[in-house]
Amino acid sequence: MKKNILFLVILIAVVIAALVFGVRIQSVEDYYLEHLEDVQPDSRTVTMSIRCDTALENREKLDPALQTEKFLPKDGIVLKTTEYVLREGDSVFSLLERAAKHEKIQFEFKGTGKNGGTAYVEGISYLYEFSCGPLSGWMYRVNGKFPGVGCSEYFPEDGDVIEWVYSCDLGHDVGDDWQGE
Amino acid sequence: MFTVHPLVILFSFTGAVSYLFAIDRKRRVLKDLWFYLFLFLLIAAANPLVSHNGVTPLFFLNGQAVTLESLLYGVVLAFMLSAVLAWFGSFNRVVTSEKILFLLGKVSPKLSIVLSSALRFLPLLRRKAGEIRSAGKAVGLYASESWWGRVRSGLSAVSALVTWSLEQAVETGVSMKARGFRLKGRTHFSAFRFSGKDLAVLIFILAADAIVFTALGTGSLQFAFYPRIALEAPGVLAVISLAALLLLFLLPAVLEIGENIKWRYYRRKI
Repeated sequence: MKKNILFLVILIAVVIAALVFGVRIQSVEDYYLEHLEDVQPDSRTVTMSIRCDTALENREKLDPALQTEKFLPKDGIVLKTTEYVLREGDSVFSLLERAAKHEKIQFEFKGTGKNGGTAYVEGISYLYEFSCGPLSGWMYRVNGKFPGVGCSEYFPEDGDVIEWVYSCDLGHDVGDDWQGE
Repeated sequence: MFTVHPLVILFSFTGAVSYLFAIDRKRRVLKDLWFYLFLFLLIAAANPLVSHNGVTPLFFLNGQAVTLESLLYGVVLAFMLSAVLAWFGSFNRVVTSEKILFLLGKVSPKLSIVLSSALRFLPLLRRKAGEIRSAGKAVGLYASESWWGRVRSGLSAVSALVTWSLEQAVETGVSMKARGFRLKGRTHFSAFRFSGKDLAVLIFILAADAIVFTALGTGSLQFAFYPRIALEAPGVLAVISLAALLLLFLLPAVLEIGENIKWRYYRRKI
């Protein structure tokens, strides 16, 4: 009897949570149906690339399940340098999400990244944080510098160069010296 | 030294549940399993909601993939937890305080006496609380309708319970002293004997463990769910260790059922 009540309470809580927070279910085709604006001469654009060279350099530390070319590109390029039209209010995160949808690149994040919520990118293209040792994860550079804020909090400007890079050593191996020497 | 190999977990679950059925009444085991099912569904549903890795997206929930891999991983994790619960359930039924005393008595008599009295204390306390409550009801303690009256009845029952447990503790201590606890030259009596059969089972368990730990150490039993479920043919060592694990997990149930059959056969002859 008690267990039934517990089950009912959880069910009601789930339904309420679904109503309050809003659940959006999309089919796979719907999700990957992403429209990109064409680059016009007068449009504001940024370029973005995604690379995982450090994972290739530290193959001995890499998760064995990822040791195939299907999951780890041989040249380290997940997304080659591409020009994207900047939309109003675009953050680095929303640009990454748009590019990943358009190129059908798998990626997972924590948080919402929308409406003032923050987002943390856990993995791109099956390569996750901690996939290559305990100090590994994804970081981003804008014009060669690491901004040091969350990707949903950084709003790039016209002509910025955004690079998503995978680090196996808290950023030291990709040129981030936030800890000093 | 950790594996989420689905076969290992399935074997473990099968062994644990069949042993539960062998040692306890069917209805009580089914009651337990009903609770496991609830937990099972909870875990199996929770994993795909928090983990979105995997190459086979089924649909997208709020912009995150719900994948086949994370769903199956959730099911396997649920089986693993149910198996652990079932093993501990059988441990609680089989390893009585008498056995704990026997095992730890020579190593550390203090620890074993503390352990066994602590394990015994809670059920004893619960039984006594029930007794006190029914006695209180009989003399009209809980008859009052008012909130404060009921609280007073409850308080007097708790006071009686505390008094009783303190008295019990003192009595236990005095009784143990009177019986010569921790005197020199004291001998133990136990109904357990280490027979040739025990030795055979022990050797079997150690041999199977050696195989399994070798396989775990060399990574033969590794199994990856993310990003893609690795459906490769297992190696020779993996097959041998899986067979050893199956025997190891089924051993308790097999021994128990064998003894039951023997017991029934002998009883029929009387």
